Amino acid sequence: MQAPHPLAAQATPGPAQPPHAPRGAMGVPYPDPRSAAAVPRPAAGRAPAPQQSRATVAAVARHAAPESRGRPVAASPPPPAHPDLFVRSTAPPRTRWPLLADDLFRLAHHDTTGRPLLHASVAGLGLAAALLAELAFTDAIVIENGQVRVVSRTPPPDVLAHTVLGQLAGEVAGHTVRTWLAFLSQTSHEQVALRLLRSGHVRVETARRLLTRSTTYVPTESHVAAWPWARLSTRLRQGKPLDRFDTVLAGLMVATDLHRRVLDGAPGHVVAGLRQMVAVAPPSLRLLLSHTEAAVGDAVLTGHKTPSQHM
Amino acid sequence: MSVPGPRTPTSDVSATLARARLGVWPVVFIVMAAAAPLTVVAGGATTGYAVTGVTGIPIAYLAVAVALGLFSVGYVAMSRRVVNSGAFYSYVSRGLGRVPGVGASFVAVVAYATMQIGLYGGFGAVLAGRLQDWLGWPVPWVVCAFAAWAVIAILGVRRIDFNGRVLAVILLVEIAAAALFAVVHLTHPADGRITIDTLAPSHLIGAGIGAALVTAVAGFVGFEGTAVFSEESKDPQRTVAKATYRAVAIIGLLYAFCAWAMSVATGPEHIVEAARADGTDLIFTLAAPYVGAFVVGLGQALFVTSLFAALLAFHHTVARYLFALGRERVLPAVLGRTSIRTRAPKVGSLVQSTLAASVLVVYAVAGWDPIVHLFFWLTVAGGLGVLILMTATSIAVIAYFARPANHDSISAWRRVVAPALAATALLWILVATIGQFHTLLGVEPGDPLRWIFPSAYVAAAVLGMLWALLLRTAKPDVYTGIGRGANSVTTELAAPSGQPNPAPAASGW
Repeated sequence: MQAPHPLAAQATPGPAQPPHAPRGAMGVPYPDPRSAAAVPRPAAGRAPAPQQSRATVAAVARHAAPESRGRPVAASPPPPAHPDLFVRSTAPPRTRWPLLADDLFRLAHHDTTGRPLLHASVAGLGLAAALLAELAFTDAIVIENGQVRVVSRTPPPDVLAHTVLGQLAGEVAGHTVRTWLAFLSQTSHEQVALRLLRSGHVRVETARRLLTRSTTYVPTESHVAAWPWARLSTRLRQGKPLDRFDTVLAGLMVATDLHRRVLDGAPGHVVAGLRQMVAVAPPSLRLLLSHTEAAVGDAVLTGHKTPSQHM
Repeated sequence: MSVPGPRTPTSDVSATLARARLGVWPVVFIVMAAAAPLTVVAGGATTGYAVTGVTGIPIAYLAVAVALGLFSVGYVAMSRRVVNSGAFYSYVSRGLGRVPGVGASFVAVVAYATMQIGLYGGFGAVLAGRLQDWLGWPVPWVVCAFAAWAVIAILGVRRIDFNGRVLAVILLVEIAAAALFAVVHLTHPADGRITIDTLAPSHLIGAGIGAALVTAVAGFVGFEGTAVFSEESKDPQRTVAKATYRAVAIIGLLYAFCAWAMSVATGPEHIVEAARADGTDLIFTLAAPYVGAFVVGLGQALFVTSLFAALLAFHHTVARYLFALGRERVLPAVLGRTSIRTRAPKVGSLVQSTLAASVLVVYAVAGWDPIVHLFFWLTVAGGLGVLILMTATSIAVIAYFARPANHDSISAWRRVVAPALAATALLWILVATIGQFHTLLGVEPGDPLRWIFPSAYVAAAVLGMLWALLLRTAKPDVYTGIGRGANSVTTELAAPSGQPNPAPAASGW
């Protein structure tokens, strides 16, 4: 594991730089032994472009995202997140953290108003799962037999991920995925919102309604906020493969039922194809995703955290 | 630099999660609201007297409380071991196998749906009576029932429920009102003396007792919801157990006390005719001469709210059952859908609303009586279904704990003796009920109508089992997940320990 860049995740992407830009490289710092010797597979109609500049990526986002919500985007500039971009790269690895929770947060909120699209407890579980997925994705933890096991104590470059890993490592007894999901879901929404706030992707708006104050995290740039939506919606509707990051993100989307919004109106085989794509994730992540889906379902049955909601 | 290792032996995670967990009394309140005390005392007990003509209703409540107390011992012991522990069919799946499990799930859906629809009759008729009395509005019962239906249908898809505190307050006031009326009845006995005739155990071997017992069972339905909280309670080993026993004891004592008090006020020999004359107003008319009109009015208003709370609670129950089965893909997966924003089991809720509307239309068109034919028949028919489920569950508990791997440190009392006693008692109630179902419906013994409700459950069970056999060959992955509710998605990945999960085939990972 290379030396961490503690602020890499927060410092670099300014408002002009979409959050997905660093993502193109995140497969690299945590190389998969199987992929090290591999050669680039033929890209889907496109040459591998590992050196594609961030500016290009940002431009793609700007063009693709704004008109995208709810319908397929014209995919003339290929989305940057293709496996060939980074998986087989022999370039020196850049330490970027896979900000899965940030993109799930974007999917779960309206891209201009920041209005939540998911029930709070489902969003909490989904974001908790995304935080665990970031660690599983980077092989800091593994999930076996329903338990979370810390395998690497190397501090992640991201502050929030560092905190979560610290919590996971700090528990002597070890807990089940479900326990961790329940625990992390209590604060995950706020934590991820704060991470987006630190990186300048959202701003806080508080509104006073009768007696309560509500806090909304409004995206600073709606095209950045809409990008995960546009990317997944387009690629899935066109039946194109997803890269590792987007596969996990799509899995989180399925577990929280968000795919019914993102793929609204898409034919049934698109959803079936989505589930098949998610099924190729490594065991740890698949276990995490199915436990998340189960936890979301159980929350409906038992009204977790809000016992007054069911009798 | 590295992430720090384990710090302290005390667990932050457990402590944080424990704060959100439930104690004994909140669980009791939540489940008792579904059991709706005033609905049972003012509606169930009085109609029970009137329809069955049996005076042993009070002792029936006590006997059922004992049987269900025994049932709870094994039920609670096993609830920690099953996922989806709020549903009886999960126990049957684990104890007796997946094929009977699906049979049980079909019976459960029919039973709870029937019971919920029956409550519309009670609500419609009682509210119509109040509007007539208080405001002089001659509103037909079916209009009131449909008004409730519309509200429930909306609350159902939006997953709105009464706030826990509101519910607890209403419940306590309800219990206080029922107890107050009972005390008034007792202090003004017919012929000036208090008799305990209706509490005599001899009723338990008398004619028609099956009808009285299943009426009593119907009144308890809802208490089984405690097991839902087995993973969310402060002390998993004890909270649910205590809450279940307390709920059963409170419900049993309250119902028996109130039903007995009414028989004291009329005199045991007149209770049946009084109930036939006054119907669901009996509890109030008996007390009216001795308490102010305000208290009676309050009691009647609480009766209406109690019926509504029960309607809503059972609506959510049916919707959740359908959701769990949809999530398991035993029923169409679309039933497993929730509203994204509100997390309501939307499709299940709509299905139940549609069913209820069709039944209400049939009753309205046919002109059948809302109290006897809708409220009493259907809630008791629902009670019969739950009785079947509880009997099967007791047997499933014995079968589950009979496997050496499941013994652990569970005492013989909890894993064999109590469930066996419960199964015997419930089976006896079941046999007596089916044998005397004509009494329950108030028809002649030779009337084919008496077989309608029992045979509907047989049909549901058989259909469910055939469906399970079909799933076993056609969709083995669905079959494996049966009984696991929302957790069925984790089935395929639950590889036995020690074996790594199979690596995915060629992919970029």
